[in-house]
Amino acid sequence: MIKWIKKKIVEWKYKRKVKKKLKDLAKKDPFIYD
Amino acid sequence: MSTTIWGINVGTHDSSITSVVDGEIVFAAHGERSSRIKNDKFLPEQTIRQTLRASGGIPDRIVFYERDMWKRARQLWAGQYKTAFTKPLVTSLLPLRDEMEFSDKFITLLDGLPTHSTAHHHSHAAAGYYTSPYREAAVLVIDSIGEWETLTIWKGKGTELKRVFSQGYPNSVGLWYSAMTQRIGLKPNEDEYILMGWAALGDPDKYKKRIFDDFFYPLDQNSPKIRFRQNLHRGCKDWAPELNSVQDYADLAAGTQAVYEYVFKHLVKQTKRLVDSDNLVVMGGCALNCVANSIAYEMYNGNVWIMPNPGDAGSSLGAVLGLQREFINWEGPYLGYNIPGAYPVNNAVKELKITGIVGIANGKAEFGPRALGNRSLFADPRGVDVKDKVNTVKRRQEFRPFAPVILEEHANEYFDGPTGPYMQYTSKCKDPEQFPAIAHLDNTSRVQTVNKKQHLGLYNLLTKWKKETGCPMLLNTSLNIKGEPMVDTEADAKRWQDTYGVTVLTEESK
Repeated sequence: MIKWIKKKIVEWKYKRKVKKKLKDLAKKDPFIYD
Repeated sequence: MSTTIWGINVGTHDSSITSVVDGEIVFAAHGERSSRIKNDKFLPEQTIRQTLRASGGIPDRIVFYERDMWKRARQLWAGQYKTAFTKPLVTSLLPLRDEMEFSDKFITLLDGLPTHSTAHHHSHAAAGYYTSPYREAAVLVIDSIGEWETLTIWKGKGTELKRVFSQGYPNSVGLWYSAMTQRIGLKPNEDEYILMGWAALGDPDKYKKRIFDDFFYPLDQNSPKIRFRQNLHRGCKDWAPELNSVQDYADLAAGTQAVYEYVFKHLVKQTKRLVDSDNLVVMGGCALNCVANSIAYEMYNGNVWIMPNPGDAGSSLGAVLGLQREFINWEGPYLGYNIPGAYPVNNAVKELKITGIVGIANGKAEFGPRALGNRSLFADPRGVDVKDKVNTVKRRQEFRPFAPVILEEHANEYFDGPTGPYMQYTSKCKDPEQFPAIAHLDNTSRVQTVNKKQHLGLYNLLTKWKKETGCPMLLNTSLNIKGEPMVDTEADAKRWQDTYGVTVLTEESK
């Protein structure tokens, strides 16, 4: 159970990091074309 | 019983609508002209009402430009999650942003109508080929991105249009050109034409090699494929940060244009290799690059057709033609909102002789980015201060030149090189000192020629102008200011006249 919780926390942290990175990227360099 | 088909481009940029009744184009217009928002992605109520009126009622079927789900798939692949997930379905975007009452009514009206869609590049190719005078031709389509395709080559024979080459995202010549536009401080996907004009102020050789080597892999002489070293969908603002002076920007613009011409030449050569034809049709947003178009004109000995609205806005027509797969009678780009009345020939000449500048908003609005006589600002092209005067009225950059409109029979006396009725090529001005307003710094001009058949009113205006002054040409620019859509209706014309203090004539008065 603890292992599973730890795994979920790592996953959640990773997703948050990716989301933040994408958000920063979009702010810095938005797509120039849809 | 007549059949009405509407082609609609909505939801991304440059919304437009075309109505084809029994194989004839009865109406075609850009959404921006009515909403007054440049490159508007929505179709305003007014445009839809104009289309309904011109078509004589609701259509029998509707064709949308682009395959919505393909595009979403690419957007997901590219990381445009927000756009891919939150963009409403194209059909629900059809009407407008805030007039929901009309929107609901309109959707109810169209409920149950058969709808179709034509792929992005297929629409471009169809818009070019089926409006062309050729019954067999090679078709080259270059733009930023459609659903996935960025560059395609087609073979047209009879009514059949077959794709012979396709290149997909992220390798895109159009995206690279837009990225460079942004790199020099202009607005991507809108100001590319300013980069093209700016190029004449710089040294093309200074950064040409560096630009090519940094962005492109060497060209393969046996394939049209253009491979890029990086995905330029987010631009290249950080590229070569040390180049930041105004002269650097001009040199970068010149280098970019030179590289584009080199790549374009390669593509035309490859098109010739893949499709055995003496005729070429060029389409896609990149077909607005009139300097490069002249290269194709030379390579195909003048047998080149570029539909006057080759970008995405023109594809509402392409969507219909892609579905119909039939040639259509192309009579000219005057397909939009009609301001009735006689063309104001006498009044315009009178005004030109007094103030040197006059606006004309008369007849059907042009379907395309260029003003070709019906929503135009004309000026006397002689004299040194004309360019500054018109640039001041239009709030444009000082270096930007204007295009001339000239009687077809006199074009060769004043210009050397390709000319045409839609301002699609550049040619050398033989006497730039006498006409500084219509000659660029490299002495080239984007010439519009006129004959009786193409536009009788404009032909008469130029004939009268020649009779009274000896000069067979006028400066012709769009009736707007920088960043604004062209004037569309009588009310817009009146507002423009009141705001900018230039007389705008809507009909001949006695």
